[in-house]
Parts: sequence; C-alpha cells; structure tokens
Amino acid sequence: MKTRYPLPVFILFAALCSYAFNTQAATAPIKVSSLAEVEVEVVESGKKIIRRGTPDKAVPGTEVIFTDTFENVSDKAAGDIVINNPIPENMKYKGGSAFCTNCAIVFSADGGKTFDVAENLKLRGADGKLHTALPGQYTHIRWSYQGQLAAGKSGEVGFRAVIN
Amino acid sequence: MKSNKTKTAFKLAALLVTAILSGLASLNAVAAGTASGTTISNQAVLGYTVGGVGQTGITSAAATFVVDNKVNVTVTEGNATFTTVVPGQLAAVTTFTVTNNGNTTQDYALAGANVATAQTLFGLTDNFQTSNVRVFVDSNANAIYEPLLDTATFVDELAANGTATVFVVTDIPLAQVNNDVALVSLTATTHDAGAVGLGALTLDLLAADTVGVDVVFADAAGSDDAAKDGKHSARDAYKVVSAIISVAKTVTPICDPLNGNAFPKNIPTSAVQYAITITNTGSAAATLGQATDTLSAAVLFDPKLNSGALPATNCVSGNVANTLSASGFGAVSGTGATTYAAPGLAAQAVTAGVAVVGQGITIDYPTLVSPATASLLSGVLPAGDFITVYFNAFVQ
Repeated sequence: MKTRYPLPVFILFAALCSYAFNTQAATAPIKVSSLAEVEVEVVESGKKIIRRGTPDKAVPGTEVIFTDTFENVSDKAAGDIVINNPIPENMKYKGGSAFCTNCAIVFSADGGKTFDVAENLKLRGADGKLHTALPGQYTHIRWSYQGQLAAGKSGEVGFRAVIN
Repeated sequence: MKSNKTKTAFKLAALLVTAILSGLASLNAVAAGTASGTTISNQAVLGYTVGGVGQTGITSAAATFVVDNKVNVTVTEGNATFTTVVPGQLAAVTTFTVTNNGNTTQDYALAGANVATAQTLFGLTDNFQTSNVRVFVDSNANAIYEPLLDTATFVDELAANGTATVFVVTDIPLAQVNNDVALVSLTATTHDAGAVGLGALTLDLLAADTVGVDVVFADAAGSDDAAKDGKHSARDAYKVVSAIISVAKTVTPICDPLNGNAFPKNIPTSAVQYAITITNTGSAAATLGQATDTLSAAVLFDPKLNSGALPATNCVSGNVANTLSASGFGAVSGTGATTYAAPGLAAQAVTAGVAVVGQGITIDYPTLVSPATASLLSGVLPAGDFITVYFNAFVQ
C-alpha cells in the first residue's frame, strides 16, 4: 500500500520549502554597504585631532573616503569574494589610497574592460603612444578577498577620491 | 565549472555596472570644478561563491552627497601700470578684471575707494585722494569706459570661470601738481545669483552640512580684504602730470658809445639786453599766453636790437649797421637749458608776436614767430623745453 500524505501536510511542506526559498531570496546572504566620509580636524581637550564625518562642505578639491563593508549574514562560508567599485563620476581616484585587509587590488583605466595592477595599466595618449595610466584616470577598482569569509564575519575595503 | 559560473556572474555584474555609469572618467576641464548641486554617488558590487557555486551579485545602496558651493573670486588690476591724469581731470579711469573662480554662478557687489596716503604701488607713493569715486561694469567687453553704455554698478550672473571688466572712475582735484599719486582699490563681494538685480549677500555656512547646497568660502586675501571672506580686492594708481613753469629774466651789457662791446659800462647812452626765459621742467606740455614787461623810465626800448659790434660809435639806437632784428626782438627755443647768448643772432630775429607801447613790452607766445622757435607751436611749450625772448634798451 502506498502512503499518501494528506493535502494539508503537502501544502504545508510546500509552503515551508517556498518560505525557505523566499528567505534566501529576500535577505541577501552578504550585506554590502558603501559609506562616504571626509576627515575633519577638530580641537579636543586643546589638541588637534582628525575625526571622520559626513561630507560636510563637499566642494571641488575635497578628498572623500569611500568604505565598502561586506558582512556574511548567512550560515555558510562565502568564497571568491570580489568587490567592484567604479570611481564616482566627477571624482578622481587618489593614487595609492585603495585599502583592504587580506585582498588583492587591481584597477581599470578603460571603463572596466580590463583590470591590472597599477604599473601595467596603459592608456594611449594624445601623441598616439601608450603611457602608464595616472591614478586620476582610473575608472574602476576591484578587490579580490583572499580565502573564505566565514559565516558571521565581515570585511572592509575602500579608497579615497577627490572631487573635481 | 565553478570558475566559469563565478566569471560569468562577475562579468554580468561588471557589464551591468558599466552600462549604468557610462561616460566615466570624463575629465572635467572646467577649472572652477564640479558645479554645485551635483549629486555624487558611490556604489559597490560584490560577487562571491558558496561551496564553489557562483552566486548572484549584490549591489550596495548608493552612498551619495551633494557638491557644495565653493566661493572664490579674484580681482586683478587691468594693465600692470598706472593711469596718467592732469589736474582737474574728470572721470579718470582705471580698469580691473573680476573673475569667478568658484563652481557656482554668482552676483558681485562692487566698491571703489581711495587708498590711504603713503601706500605704494608700481614704485609710486600715494599722496592725495581723488574725489567722487564710482564704479561701472563694462557692458560690451571692449575695455573702454563708455559712460552712456557702461552704467551697471554690480556684476550680474557671472558664471563659474567667467570674467567681467570693471572701471573705477574718479575725478582729479584741480590743485594737484606734477608727480602727485593717488591709489584706488576695487573690492568685489560675492552675492547670490538667480534673482533680478543684486542678490542677497552670500553667507559662509558655519553649521554642519545640510541636505541642500551649502557655501564654503575659499577666496584668498586681496589687497584690501581677508582670506575666506567672500571678497577679493586689487589696487591701481593715478599719476598726475603737469607742466612746471619757471620764468627767469637776465640783463647783459651790450655796448656803450665809448667802449663799444669791449667791456661796456652801464652808463647813460649804453645799451643793455634783457632776456626772458620760460622753462617747462614738468611732465606735460604747457600752453603759454602772454608775457608783459614794463621798462623802467631810465631806459628806452631799442627798436633794432643793436648787436653792439664795433666801431663803438655804432652803439646808438636805430643804428643800421648793427641791426639784428627789424622788430627789435630775438627769440630762440629748444630742449633743455636755454641756448641764448647775448648779443643774440640775426637768425633769431622775431617777425611776429611782439608789441611795444610806450614802456610796455608784450610777448604773445601763441603768435610768436622766429626762425629759431620751431619747437614752440602755437604757444605750446613741450615738457623739458625752453623759450627765450630778448630785446635791448638804451640807458637814458
């Protein structure tokens, strides 16, 4: 004799499955956020110190610190994490400022078509010759996080750019 | 298999991002920078695998902020030199340029003023104040002050990187003399644009950033204002040029009937020569009028400008042989110190512009004519020049 599950149970099972499915689709396993800050010199207890705050008085020439934070909010380790951040329009990347812990950093100077380390990035100049791209000409930054990001762990990457 | 999926997932994400943000890295060639009010947005895209299986890329929310107003204005003097004026000159002009070095269209209030005495510019030292200082904006960019056209008194709606030519116009007091110097300054103050007429004074925001466009003063200190005050200023100078006239009169013994011109004595019947020299040691030409001289009753005008040449008996009024000038006058002009020397020359005989009525001598410089006064045209004595007119008189 075949065992038949009653319809309600079947529906409940299906509902549970879909619920699990929906949970996975509704909440991203990795939370990614981007933050823009500037450094401000303040005087506290008679001493000048640097504090970070929202981009007050963001005018041409202001240097902005962008920090991308990623947090593994799932219960499984995540690997091969790659973060791609285009340099915002109206800004120039500040050479040497890209930071992260435990990752490799490459750049693109051709709109994201090719990525390489800074020394290898070439652009054709007005004279028709290839020149090493200047940091101000970079269009994208890409961080490759080394190893696995365990469940519950987070990491941080970022860079500085100056408003045109 | 898993590497393919990772690459595919990343490539898709990269393509998507590239499609969204087209026209990246277009260098902003405008020196003033990104226009205020522009929103700057940053987004990161994360790709990853779980258990070696490529997952859907995750895009962060955008971190955004608005570019604020960087107020920066510069005022520069027009032509790196002073303006030459004469005493009493009205509406003397000095020229300045006002440049909007900020990233927002602005109005600018303008103020012209005299600078304090003893300040220096172009190697000159201020020693007087001009009167009735006013300011006008060049309406047609030709750098020429045209009173009927250039009537605006503030700069209206100057775009980022734009420039405006501004005139400071002032009057020079009549009492000023050669080499007097007056310095003037022009100050431009940033005001809001957008409305008809001069906008409200632009204020530097001191409190924390708001969601809208805030104001940051980034100007340098000018000649008469401080840094980061929303203003800039520059100076220019007026230098007065005028004539400096000096008059000198000399008298030289020419002859007497006993000695002739060999050591003549000032005795009755002797002849003396009067020479009147006018010198212009100033920096501007002077228009001479008339000079009058009244001879003392003890002498009588010599109508023939006796040369005093020997024999001594020729030393009498009206002697034909010793006549140097049919009018009785000689004149010479030129540059520097006078070249006149008694007893004069026939080549310097005056043929017009002199009159003798009784003991009264009149020299009319505008109509004076002599072969040796070519540099004196219509009575105008150039700067640095002299004119000497001479005549004889016999001691009675």
